Amino acid sequence: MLVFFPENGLFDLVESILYVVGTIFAAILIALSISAYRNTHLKKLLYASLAFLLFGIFLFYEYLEHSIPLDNPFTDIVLPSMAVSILVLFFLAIVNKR
Amino acid sequence: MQDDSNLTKERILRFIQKNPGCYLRQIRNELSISMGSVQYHAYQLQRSGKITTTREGLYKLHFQSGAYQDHEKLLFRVLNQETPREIILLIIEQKYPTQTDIVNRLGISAPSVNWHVRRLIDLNLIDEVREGKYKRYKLRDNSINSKYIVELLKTHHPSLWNKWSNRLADMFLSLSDEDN
Repeated sequence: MLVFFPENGLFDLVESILYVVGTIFAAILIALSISAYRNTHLKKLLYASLAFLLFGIFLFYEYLEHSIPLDNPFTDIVLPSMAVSILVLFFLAIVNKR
Repeated sequence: MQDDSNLTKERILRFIQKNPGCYLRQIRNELSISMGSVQYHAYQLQRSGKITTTREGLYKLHFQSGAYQDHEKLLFRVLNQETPREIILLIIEQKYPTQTDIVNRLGISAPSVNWHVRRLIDLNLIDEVREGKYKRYKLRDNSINSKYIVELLKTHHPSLWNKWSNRLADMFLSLSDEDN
């Protein structure tokens, strides 16, 4: 079961809730940016929706790692790479002409 | 039972005739009919050729078949989006506003206004007129007249979702800070 109530008490529970809320907000922002893209056909909105998608995956991965400790040696690389990719995508969304 | 069903279908058809470009949730809310029933009857009306639909983002806009030309359907779609709708309203109200007038009135960035104005010109809804160093905007001649648009504005409101997605697009347009 993915929903996990940690043993370390209230702080861990709040952390889990924040991850879930963050993922839900990321999902709303993905849907909004796709909807905006369909209305305007602005390519920059595709970059933005991809950034929101990555952010959602980033949060979900963090949540999983927090709930079920993942023995993945790449985690230390994957998460910062995702963070950098998100920033790069937002940068592309800003500088792209359309 | 069959009579009730026909009555509901008739009510939905009349609503679509009076409110061209309406979407399913609007029909459900205004007529107090369940969403399932609205979907069923709208589908039946479409199959029998009495109505047509056009997709706009997440919404399907409904029209009486044969009653509207393509440029009118385009106008309905534009009126369901917040910024283009406000630009058209301002043009009707001020007759020949400049881009600065639009920026000041709408409170969004110049690149964003510029992008929307270009799009409305491309859609053949408005024209740009050069007057000295200013560019002024007016509704395209032979296009739909302003009284008709004002009538449509009463029934066409952007949904909250459309407003938000429009604002997201405006935000990214503002960040890119283009002048062309």
